[in-house]
Amino acid sequence: MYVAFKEIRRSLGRFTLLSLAVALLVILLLFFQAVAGTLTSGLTGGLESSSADVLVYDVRARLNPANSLIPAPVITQVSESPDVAAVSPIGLSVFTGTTDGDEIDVQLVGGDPTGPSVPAEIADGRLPQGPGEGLFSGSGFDNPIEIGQTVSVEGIDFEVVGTADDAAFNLLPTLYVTFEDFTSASQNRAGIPIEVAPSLLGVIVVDGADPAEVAEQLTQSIVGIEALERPAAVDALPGVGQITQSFNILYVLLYIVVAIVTGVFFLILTVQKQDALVLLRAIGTGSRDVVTSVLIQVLVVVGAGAVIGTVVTAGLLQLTRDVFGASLDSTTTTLSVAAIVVLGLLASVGAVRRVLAIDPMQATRSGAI
Amino acid sequence: MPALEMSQVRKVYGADDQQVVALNDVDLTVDDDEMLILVGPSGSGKTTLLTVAGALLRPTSGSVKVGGVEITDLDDKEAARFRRDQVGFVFQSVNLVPFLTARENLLVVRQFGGSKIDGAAKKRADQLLDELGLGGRGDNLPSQLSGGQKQRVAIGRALMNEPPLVLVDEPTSALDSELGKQVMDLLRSEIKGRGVAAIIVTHDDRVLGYGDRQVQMVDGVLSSAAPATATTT
Repeated sequence: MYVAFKEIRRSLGRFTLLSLAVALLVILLLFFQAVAGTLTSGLTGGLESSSADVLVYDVRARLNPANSLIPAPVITQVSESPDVAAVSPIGLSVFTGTTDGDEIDVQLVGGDPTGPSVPAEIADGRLPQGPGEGLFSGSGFDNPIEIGQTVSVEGIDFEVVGTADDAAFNLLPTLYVTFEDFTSASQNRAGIPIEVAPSLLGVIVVDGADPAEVAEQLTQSIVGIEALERPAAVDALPGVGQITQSFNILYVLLYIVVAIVTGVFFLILTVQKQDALVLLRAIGTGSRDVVTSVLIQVLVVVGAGAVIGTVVTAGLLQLTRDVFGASLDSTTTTLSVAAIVVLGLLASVGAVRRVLAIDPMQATRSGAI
Repeated sequence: MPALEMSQVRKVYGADDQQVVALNDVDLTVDDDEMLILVGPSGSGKTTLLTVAGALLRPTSGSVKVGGVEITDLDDKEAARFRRDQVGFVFQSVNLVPFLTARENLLVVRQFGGSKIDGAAKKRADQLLDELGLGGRGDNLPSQLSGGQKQRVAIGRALMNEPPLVLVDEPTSALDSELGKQVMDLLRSEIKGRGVAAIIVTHDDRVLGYGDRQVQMVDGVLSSAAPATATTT
């Protein structure tokens, strides 16, 4: 440890540069993760946070909520199926609304506020209890609408009575209202009293029942529907897989760059100080002590880079909160930082192998030291 | 008990037709507080003898005892511990860790193997540097020291752990006459003052008179011992 820290102190410039390089990569990684998290949460949050255990689609919709329409008889069939405790229609449609005089796109989610059509948890306020009330949830890319504000959609004024976190659909400001209000807004937009069918059904299963088995049983027993347990429905949302895959490729590239930068730096460093390491081995330093010294330096440099990168990213995301509202997830951040430190240690295997290969006899060769 | 006993020590490099006998059944004893000068032409096996005595190299056969302890059967870890605790090395070329100051180059031998750099170690390092005429140079990096000063720091490092045996390889080869004399005066003074045994390998005639005894090595064979031919300082 003595030699490791003394060397860092005497070569502060080069070790600082490596730490800053690692910090830069950590900033990129965490920033991408925060943006990807906000993007996917804005797309999947509505289903992910739903109180429904199972979601029922029109089979022709191919698991795309925007294309799904559930005929009225299906609601009764699902309600009467085994292991089903509660069912709620879920109407989904994007409207143009106004709030504080500004036009906005707003996703209306119509359903039974006491049933499985609303988020499982609300952040503030309460669920809508009747006509003209709404529960708001925004994606990170929207300006928040607060409790007490009014959103007008197709001539209906909705007062926001509560808010929920991460429960938006389609990256849009999302308003959970009664199915009756949803129907009225749809009919007002059409200009005639059309029949409004729900896009999905939300189902709560009885205690002890397996949602996946219930979904399978519903799909098998009712013609024209496809039912999925909620996590599977989230994964099946259009575009989510592609976004996740694209970002995963970026993450892998960044992890590879971290490993290469760290590995090459410490390998070069070990080659440059080969003579000093030969001398230390010759005067009685065990190979384990020398390897420990290298690994301590890796930990310090990569760890410092990770900490700097995390702090800077948190600051940057705070500064850009009004732009897309992304923030660091503590679990993801901790895992990413741990992965980078472990990768740094693994990447130093070249340097460690070189240290282990040192022959202290080289100290006796003329000019070796 | 002698500081070093080598008995029928043989070191062979290579195999079959390519074999080179670096040490040919060498017998050598160095008493406590004896300063032995080992001379011989280049390639005669002097440095090999030094490295075998210091557990840097295992002999092909024979026995090597330091302080009565057989060192030929030590494994790598034990050999490293032996070198750290029982032997002080001064190598031929400048031999300091470049990113450690003169004081830290002395203290580094106390760091490894679970030891600690305590107040006593720092005091001893400062005392050694004072004795070596480097009292004001403790915080200098090797790059800020002259060749002679570096060699003195290396002597200090060799003595830091108070080893019973000091092995010195060509201490004056990189120094001019005046610096070489200064370093040898200092070396003899420190070694004799501490009552430790030392082997000094050299082919520099100026060094011959500094030892208590002088032996010559040719083609891996030690010739009869001869008393030192000159006195020092």
